[in-house]
Amino acid sequence: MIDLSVHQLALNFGGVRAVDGVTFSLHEGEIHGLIGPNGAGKTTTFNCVTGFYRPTGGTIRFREREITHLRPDQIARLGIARTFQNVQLFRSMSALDNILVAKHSQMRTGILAEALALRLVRRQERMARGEAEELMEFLGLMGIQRQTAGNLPLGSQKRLELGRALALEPKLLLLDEPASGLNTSETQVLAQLLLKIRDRFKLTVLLVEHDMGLMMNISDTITVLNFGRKIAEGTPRDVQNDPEVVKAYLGENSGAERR
Amino acid sequence: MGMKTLERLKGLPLVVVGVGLLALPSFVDNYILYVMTRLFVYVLVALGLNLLTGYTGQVSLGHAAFFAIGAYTAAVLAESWRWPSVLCVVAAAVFTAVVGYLLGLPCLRLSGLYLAMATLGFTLIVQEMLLQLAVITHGSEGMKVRPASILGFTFDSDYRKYFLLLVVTTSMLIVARNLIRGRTGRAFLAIRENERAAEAMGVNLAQYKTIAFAISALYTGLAGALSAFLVGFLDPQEFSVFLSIQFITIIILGGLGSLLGSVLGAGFLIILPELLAGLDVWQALVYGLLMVLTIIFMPYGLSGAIRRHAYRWLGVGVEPIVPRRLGH
Ligand SMILES: Nc1ncnc2c1ncn2[C@@H]1O[C@H](COP(=O)(O)OP(=O)(O)OP(=O)(O)O)[C@@H](O)[C@H]1O
Ligand SMILES: [Mg+2]
Repeated sequence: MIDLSVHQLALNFGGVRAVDGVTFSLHEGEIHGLIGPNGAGKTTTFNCVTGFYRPTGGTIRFREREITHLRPDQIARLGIARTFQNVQLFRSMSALDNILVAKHSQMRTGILAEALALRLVRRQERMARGEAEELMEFLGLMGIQRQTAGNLPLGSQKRLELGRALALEPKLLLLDEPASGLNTSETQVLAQLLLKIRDRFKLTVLLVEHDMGLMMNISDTITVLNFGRKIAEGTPRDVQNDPEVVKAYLGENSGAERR
Repeated sequence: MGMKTLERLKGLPLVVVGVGLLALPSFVDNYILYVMTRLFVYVLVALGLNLLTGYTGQVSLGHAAFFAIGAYTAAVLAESWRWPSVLCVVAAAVFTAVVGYLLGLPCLRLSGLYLAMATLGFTLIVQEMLLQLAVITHGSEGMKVRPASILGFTFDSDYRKYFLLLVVTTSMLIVARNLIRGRTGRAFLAIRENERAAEAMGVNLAQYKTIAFAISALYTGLAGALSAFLVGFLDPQEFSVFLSIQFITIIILGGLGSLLGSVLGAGFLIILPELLAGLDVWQALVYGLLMVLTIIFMPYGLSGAIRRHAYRWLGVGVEPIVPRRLGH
């Protein structure tokens, strides 16, 4: 079954065609890689899918429902969660509260009930807290629940942001460079974690990453962008040997240097 | 003394303050009771403003207008319509909340200094309306309001007014704490901290910002309505931009995004001038100087300083992070 289908997606910034007629689709349960040199349009594609940018052309469907013109919060509530290329936490809130914000739409309490701290509110609050702690334990984030998110080391912040996205209980997870800033062994741990997450939460994952080793290892399918256009798509092996792709990466030094 | 014991003692200051406030009327004269009652009114406003500005990150210089709307609604309902006092207060608070919600809608497009300007304009408009709609508000003559009464019990002495406000303000403080600790409070904070991330987590920005405006206006309208009955006279000159600035000063000095800060800031603004009254001509100077020093040495307000020292010296609480300042 197709989870997400992006059709002829286009977005211009002034004269820059950041995304230029990109089409791809994600099958349920797969890890789909989105790669390309710097400025290829990967983050812009993410921002279109999650409602942060309004595309100038094309359609985006999530499980047969068109989401092209929905707001980010509506898209999130439909079951699409994301992380950001530069970590975006609620910095002065505790790690646990960061996760609990994502439980927002699962909780069913009215403001009046909350104001009076009625029993049903306290019960839901306890439940959400329990689930959040369970998730933190799964991600190896125990012991930092009460710490202020902005004071955590970058590695923990990235892990927390991932946890926050998972707490939304999404069907589709979009990760923008989750391995950036991690060393080789940390990246290997992350790869195992992503596979574990996919299986445990039955997710479809769209993954942007410059670390080719990681991408080739865990992606089922890879879509390659260059200058806003799709230049290749297929299994990691196919894509690796594609002459267009080799050319795109060799012609662009920073991309090649990053492996 | 271990950390655990200290954490457990956290409730102790609350108990001491509570007992102190209940016992206070037996020890002090009427003037001090009157000052305390005024303090409670300001605490109510500060709680409301802090929910909007401190927690949700939406600056407002429109709170003098909300205060006026609450006060005049209650006064008109009581004097012209002869409604029972309780109904007047409730209706005034609810009506102000509705106005707050409606003001929140166009303000969705604004933030920071621009939002401050728009809400400041709102204060100017409302004050002008108080003067112009003389048929209802009696214009520049002002309005007399008789004391509130509930089932024949009249709140006409400083003693009675003190307890009325003590009960209402404490209840509303608890309500604010409940809201802050729950789903709505986290949504508010999330918006202040990072709008994009909040949206990505399913928080409807427009919905929660307007809710914050409504709740904030509700607190302030309630304070205005009570104040109308306490003071017994409404002078439209009082609901000026200067009052709005006083309100925002309270929460900045006390601590943005802190309920304790709302209380401490109101204390600073109301009680300190009384303490300095003996200084005569020097009063304003010393008061202003203390204000400057406080904000320089406690940039996150009185409550921020307390929190930082509690963490550093007693190991209580968590390491605070520097929150973004207003207007950023
Ligand atoms: N908000 C914006 N305003 C103007 N131009 C933008 C904006 N966002 C992205 N761009 C431009 O769009 C193009 C695609 O950028 P995008 O961030 O999507 O690339 P990317 O593939 O994520 O690159 P990287 O690997 O460096 O993260 C770039 O040329 C970029 O400069
Ligand atoms: Mg990017």
